[in-house]
Amino acid sequence: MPDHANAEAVDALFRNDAFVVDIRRQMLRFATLQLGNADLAEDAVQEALIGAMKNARSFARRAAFKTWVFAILKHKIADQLRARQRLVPVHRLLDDEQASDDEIMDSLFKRGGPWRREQRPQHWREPDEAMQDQHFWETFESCLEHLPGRQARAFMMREFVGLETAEICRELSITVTNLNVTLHRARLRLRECLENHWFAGDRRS
Amino acid sequence: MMSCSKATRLISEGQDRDLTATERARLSLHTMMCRSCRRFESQMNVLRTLARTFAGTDQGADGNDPEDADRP
Repeated sequence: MPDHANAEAVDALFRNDAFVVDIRRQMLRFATLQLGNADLAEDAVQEALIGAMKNARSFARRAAFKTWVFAILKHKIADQLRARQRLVPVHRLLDDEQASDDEIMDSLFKRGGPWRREQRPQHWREPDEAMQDQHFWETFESCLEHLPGRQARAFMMREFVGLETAEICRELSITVTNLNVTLHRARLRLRECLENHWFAGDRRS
Repeated sequence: MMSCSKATRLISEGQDRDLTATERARLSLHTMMCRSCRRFESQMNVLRTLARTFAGTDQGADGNDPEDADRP
């Protein structure tokens, strides 16, 4: 792969576009905060942008592209932190990711598997109407942003980019079972978030 | 009978692969009797539509150029 040529092309494209310049600045701020190192942050942002550009055509909406590129960035940062886990105290991002992976099932289901009463799916009012509403899409975006990095990335690869499970497993270096678990949890979380913040409320919150 | 957590897992997997005949039979036995998982199942279909619409891949044919739409 001509990585350098690719990087330059992406770089040139991004410098010409106020939208991406803005995204890049936000990504750098986020990555620097998480990694505590400007050089590593720069690398992670660059890699995430290049990774995101591979599937850029899957995104007609800019908000969707932004969510996508941040999902990749979080994934890169988690990889970085994992790699130097023995050198520094375990980082908050990684803690959160693992904890939330384990906790979501316990928070939704009782021991043995039935829904907790207060977590049972409710009737969703008028999804078609929601899709016409800009406020709904802001809610949707914010629910996606609150997914743990790996879940967000797997979900978006599957549902935004439309990749098959085998491709996603290759890309993320995980087993099919692992992907199934990850997608299941991502969908449970998104469903819950959308219901709580939109579909079940009397009024939008 | 299959538990709700297992049923939602199968419903989720059903979005990513073809379930076997046995899996489908066990799942529909569950959803027949469980309104919560029935709702979950139909909401998963809504979620897929929402995701595709959000990404914009459902809107490719309407002639709008989204690259320009939200340019400041």
